[in-house]
Amino acid sequence: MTPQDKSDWEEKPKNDKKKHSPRDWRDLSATPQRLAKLFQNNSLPESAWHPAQKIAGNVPTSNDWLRFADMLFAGLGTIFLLAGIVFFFAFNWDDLSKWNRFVIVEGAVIISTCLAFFLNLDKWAGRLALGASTILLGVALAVISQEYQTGADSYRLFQVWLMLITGWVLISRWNIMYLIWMVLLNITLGFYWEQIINTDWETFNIILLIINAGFVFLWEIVARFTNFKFMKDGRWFLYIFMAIALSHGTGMMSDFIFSSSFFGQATILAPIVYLGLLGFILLFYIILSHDLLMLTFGGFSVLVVGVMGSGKILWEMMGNSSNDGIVYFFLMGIITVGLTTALVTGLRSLQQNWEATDV
Amino acid sequence: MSKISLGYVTDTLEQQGYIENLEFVDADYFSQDDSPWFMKGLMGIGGWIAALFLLGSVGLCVSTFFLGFDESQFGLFIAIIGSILLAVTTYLNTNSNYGVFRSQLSLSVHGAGHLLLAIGFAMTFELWNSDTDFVIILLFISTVQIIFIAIYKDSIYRFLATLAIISCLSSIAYIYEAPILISLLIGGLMILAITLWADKFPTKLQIQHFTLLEPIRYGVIIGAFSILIYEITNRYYGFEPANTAKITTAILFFCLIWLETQLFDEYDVRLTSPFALAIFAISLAISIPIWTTPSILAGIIGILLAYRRRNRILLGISYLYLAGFISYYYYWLDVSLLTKSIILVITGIIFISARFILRRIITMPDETEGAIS
Repeated sequence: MTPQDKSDWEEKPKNDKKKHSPRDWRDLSATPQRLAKLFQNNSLPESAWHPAQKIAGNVPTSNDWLRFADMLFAGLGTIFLLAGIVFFFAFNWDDLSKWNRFVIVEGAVIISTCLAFFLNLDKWAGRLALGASTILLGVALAVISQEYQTGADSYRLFQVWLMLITGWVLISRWNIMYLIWMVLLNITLGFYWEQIINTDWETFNIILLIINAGFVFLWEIVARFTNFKFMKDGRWFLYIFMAIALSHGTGMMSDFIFSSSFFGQATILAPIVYLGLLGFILLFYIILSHDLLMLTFGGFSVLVVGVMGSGKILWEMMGNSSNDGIVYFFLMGIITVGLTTALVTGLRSLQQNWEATDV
Repeated sequence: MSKISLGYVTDTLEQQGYIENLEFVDADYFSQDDSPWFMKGLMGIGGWIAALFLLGSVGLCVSTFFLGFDESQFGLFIAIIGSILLAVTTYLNTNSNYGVFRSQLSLSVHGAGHLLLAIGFAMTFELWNSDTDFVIILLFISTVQIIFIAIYKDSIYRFLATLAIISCLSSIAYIYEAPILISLLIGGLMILAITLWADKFPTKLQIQHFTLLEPIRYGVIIGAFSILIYEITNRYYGFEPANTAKITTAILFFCLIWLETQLFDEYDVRLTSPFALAIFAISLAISIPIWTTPSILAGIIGILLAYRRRNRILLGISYLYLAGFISYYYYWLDVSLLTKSIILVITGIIFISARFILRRIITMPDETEGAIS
């Protein structure tokens, strides 16, 4: 390691001597693209290019390489070792007695749960151990259901798994656990509907839409009115469930518009629920809090539904001649341009307003 | 993204005597569309949908008008239409500062122009009767792409055009049933990737043509990865007349050694030092047992290049690629599950021991620093 390596990382840009407005070019992060522009526009000497990359941290120091190698060896070593152990049990699985199988998988659940307890859930190691217990519990349930085949529907396995991990999820204060819980809830409902109800798919879609969107809104409310830091910081996974809710809404609207039954025969309930979802998105992410990504998700869904709706209406208005086809495609192009421009203009004006008021 | 500010970089360069009294005259030079990526995505998708509708309208118009023409006349006409689309979009792209929506609209029309030109060229000269005809079309497409990479200033286009050229070259190798050409192409691409990603290109060109080289960088390495996927996966189904995996592995091994020597040189590590020799020996030890799956070496090269430039995207792709081909290698290993499990456990122990030795001989710096941010 050279002294230069050390100083690159110890001094931070906070030490900037000159004060500038937030929009000043000096405050922009020194990405390779911006450095290239800086060099091109100011005819800075070529000899400063590589030092500039080092100062900006765009090139790792020798210390960084050592840390990288350390992490890589540890990661690869663990993965290979675990894979080898799994393969070993897979090879000998048929020769193991029922009780040995139970001991192995349930022992793994107990060990990882104890590890989570002793390692503390505030640390990554403890959280990962609890996450492993959650997954291993599912494996244990699968082994039990394989050994005692009662002919029960498979949704029951996911239902029991979901119920058993609920307590762990609540104490975990880790959004990955909530992610697993919600995925299991979606799977359980999906299997339940397929294996028990097997009809009225529109209601199924509405239920999934409400559950996924409801989870997101509930999370937002709890995060807003409590002091749970993990709920305020770890919001990224909410976008997954909002995307799921919106895809169900968009799918239902597609069935409603084209009178198809891909997502279930749609009734007038589809547009009502869809508009309700959009209304809640606007209410939550414009009035209660500011989240442009959630609004963009909604905007994308509106674009798709808008193009489908106008496409259907225009198609029914047009005749079958090729001239009508030319006009149809042309008008659809114009409608798409208009719709996209309107959505983007709206989102941009919100962004600008928030930037002005949120400082 | 770097956490260091441009101001800090210029101040430090001033302190170190590289520059004097930098007065930045044109701060607006950095002004750009500050919409977040997802809004750009919405604009881009809207642009593409609109362009498809508009192109559908133009396509219907053309086909209605030229119904009854013979193939070569029709081919000539669509080649002309394609050329016009290319010329107009290139002119607009060069002479106006586009937002994302218009640039995506223009890109899709530009893409349609390339398609029409290639199809029109093939129809006009009736190039579909022999292998040589197809090779001529592929060379024509490659040449057009090279020209437009230089003049059409759009990163997505440049990336796609690089991939298109690589696909054309690999298709030529398949047409001539010459897998050795595939091995040589992969080697050539990997050398180019190392040159571009490890900053071995002349500094002046790197600075002047930064926006041109950036998408090509991605295109070259993704292209090499893709050809390797095709080469490796098809080998097991007998699609390839000869097995050139050994040659590809040998070429990639030398690429890896070259990259390592460049990195040692950059960090002032002597090539004859025990550390450097140990790394070379490890590289050889990895390369010999995996000779049937050169993609593993390509993945390792990708990871080193990505970390060298602190590039998250390439690092993620390379990790996935390496993980995929390690799994693939073990899946096709012609030994029992028990032997596989023993090999895996031994490999894991070797890696963990390597980490242990590394920690014994070097004091590990603070683990929170140095992550790609």
